[in-house]
Amino acid sequence: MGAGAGVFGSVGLVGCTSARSRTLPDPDEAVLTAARQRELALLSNYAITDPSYQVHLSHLHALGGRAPSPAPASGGTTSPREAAAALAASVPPLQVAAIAVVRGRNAALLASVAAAHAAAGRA
Amino acid sequence: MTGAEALARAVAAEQQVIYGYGVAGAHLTGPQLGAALAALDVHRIRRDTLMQLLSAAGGRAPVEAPAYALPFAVTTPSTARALCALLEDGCAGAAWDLTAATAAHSPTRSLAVTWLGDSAVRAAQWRGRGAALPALPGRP
Repeated sequence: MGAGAGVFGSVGLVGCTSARSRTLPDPDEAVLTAARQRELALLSNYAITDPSYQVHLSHLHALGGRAPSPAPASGGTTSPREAAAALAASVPPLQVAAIAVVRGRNAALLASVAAAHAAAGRA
Repeated sequence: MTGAEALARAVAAEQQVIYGYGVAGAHLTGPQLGAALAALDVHRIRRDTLMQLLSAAGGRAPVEAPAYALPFAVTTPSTARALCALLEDGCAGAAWDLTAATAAHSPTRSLAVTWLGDSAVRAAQWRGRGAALPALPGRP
């Protein structure tokens, strides 16, 4: 929140671009890439018709990822127990990533995805 | 939002949540009352921790009101549970802001990340098994 909207950020963008806009690299890109890969792995545990699939797809989109193509028609081969274990196992690394990233918005997003995974596993 | 502003907002959220759990608890019994009382303890500790962090950051804690307006009438166990879920949603929102406003690897960031998870889990438990959950708890 607000981390990229400071005065210097605006001035920097104006000063660095002439005819075309340029996007500054996200310092958290490696962490976000790992989070997207984790979300893709979780997606593979569910059928596309499963509500959990849509939840993880929304996480993937929020993290800047794209839906896998082709989407699974009948779901993954993992058992519900294994899927639950994978979900639980995803929480600590996401929380560690949330603590470590530079940009506040990325931190909140990663923490929220971790929270969603924790809540889904404990409800 | 600065870190101090986010801390102040989190303190205000916790003050409202503590009041809300008091109201909800009057309509709960058995294990649900136990859960509400346990949550109340957690939120009191969290409020105190947040106030210490806010003071250390040079901010002033918001004045606690004697009562807060509730989003709906709480008259039954069902409405009490719904209020508890809503209170935790509010905490998750404050934790999102605090997470976003703090520096990487800071103790406050670590606490905010943990709190966001705790509130999301508690909100889910109040909603009950099978209820739809927010895809991204705390997101504005």
